[in-house]
Amino acid sequence: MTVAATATGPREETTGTPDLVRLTDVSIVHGRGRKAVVAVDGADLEIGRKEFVAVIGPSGCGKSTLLKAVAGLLPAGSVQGRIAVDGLDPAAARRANRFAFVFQEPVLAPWRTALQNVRLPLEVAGRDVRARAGRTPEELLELVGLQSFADKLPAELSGGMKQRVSIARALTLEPSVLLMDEPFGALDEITRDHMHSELLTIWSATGSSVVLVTHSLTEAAFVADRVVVMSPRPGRIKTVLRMPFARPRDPALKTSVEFLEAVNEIRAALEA
Amino acid sequence: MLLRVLRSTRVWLVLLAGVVVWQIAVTVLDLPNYILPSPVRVVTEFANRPLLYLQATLVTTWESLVGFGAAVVLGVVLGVLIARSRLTEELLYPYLNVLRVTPTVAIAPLLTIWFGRGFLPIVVVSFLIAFFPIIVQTVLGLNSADRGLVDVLRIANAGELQILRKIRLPNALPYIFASFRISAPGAVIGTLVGEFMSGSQGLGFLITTASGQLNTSSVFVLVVLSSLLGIAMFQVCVLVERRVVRWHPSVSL
Repeated sequence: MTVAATATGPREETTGTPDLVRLTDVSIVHGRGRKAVVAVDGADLEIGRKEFVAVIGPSGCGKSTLLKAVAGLLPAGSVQGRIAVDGLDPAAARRANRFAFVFQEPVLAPWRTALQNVRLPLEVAGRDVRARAGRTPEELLELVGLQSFADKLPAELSGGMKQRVSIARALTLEPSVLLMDEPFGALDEITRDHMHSELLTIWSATGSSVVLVTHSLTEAAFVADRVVVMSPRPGRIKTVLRMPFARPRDPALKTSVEFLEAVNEIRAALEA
Repeated sequence: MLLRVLRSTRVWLVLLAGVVVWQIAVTVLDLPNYILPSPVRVVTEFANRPLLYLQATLVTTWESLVGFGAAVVLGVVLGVLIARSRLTEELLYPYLNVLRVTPTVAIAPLLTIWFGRGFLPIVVVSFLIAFFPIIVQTVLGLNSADRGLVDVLRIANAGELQILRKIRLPNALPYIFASFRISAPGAVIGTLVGEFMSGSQGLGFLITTASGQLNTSSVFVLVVLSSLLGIAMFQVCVLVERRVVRWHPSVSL
């Protein structure tokens, strides 16, 4: 049913490839000297344009670290190997505003209203980036279904609403890659289920690729084109599984036999 | 109806009761005026020379405002420098701490020697007392900004100055206002100390002369006016705080 698509072996240089993000033999080391811990070991991965990739694995497998490395958020020197985003290294890609990040917590500025929070990246971006941005903050709030909450402060919003605001904020600068680190981890299960469909709707309306780190097998199988399965200590990419379900995906998919089979396959890969 | 009036005024009734007990005690025990004047005598003292007292209050208010204002400006600016620059923190913070633990009362005579009598040394004492809570809270507020929020701006390619303006300073505002609650009345105390040492007008100066003449009723008037000034400065800060940091849980929605 699925094709294990672990990317290894020789390949040509990045120019002219269809891949948006390309990780080549990436290792990440935390700390120095005797205290050094290898968080990620020899990861190879390609992410296509407008592809939705989920990264799953037990705690401590370095999946969040890998995400931070792609965003260029890790201290210089801790990342070995090659990370290319549209042919740029992470720092240059960040300067070109190719990324946006959604954290497990919504991390909204409590003194700004929902709309002002969505507008925040726009206020600090360079003039060229601002000119590029397509959707206005108002339109993005509408996209995540919060147009009537534009003037509410974060303290007046529910957990799911806050996370939707943070997703809208992440889309403000029209990123090529949306990096999501367990974005629904802090939500209750009912809200989370709802957010999965919501996220797919939002994603289909944008041109972004998504890399989503998660603990949830169902979440990974439902939202992703491909699921990257990682093993811990040191973090390694075990296998990559393709989710063969047609889009748009209906919530009813979650109860189908093929879906449960796919979830089981991910589980088997995790435990192997 | 009566109950509700009682409930909303009961704090003041305690004050009224206290004043009545005070008046009765002084009359019954027949205490001499220079030990403890009765409330009526204190009020009479104020009514006899209202202009003198109001003018002194104005002087002290002005000096306190200047001392407090200087403390706000310098406290926030130095707070930003210390919070955002390792070198400034390393070179400046220990000495600021030494200055802080040195009793201001001990420095005040020096200030008179250097600056002479009058406005300047008084304002400096006021500043010294108001300054430290502001700088400490500013540093705390700037550094306690949500790291995730800072990362959001970093990923959006924001510079440190933009992060300071958009995230760190707004985040520090509740902390800074909390310090004003200490510093604003502190500035009044500083001004009074300054006026004790080197004033020729103001509430603090009048307290030294009145107590020298054993004019205890006058001292009472001056003490009450000083307290009222401190409360007024405090309340103005709280009012501004409520308007500026309406979002903070301490103000509540």
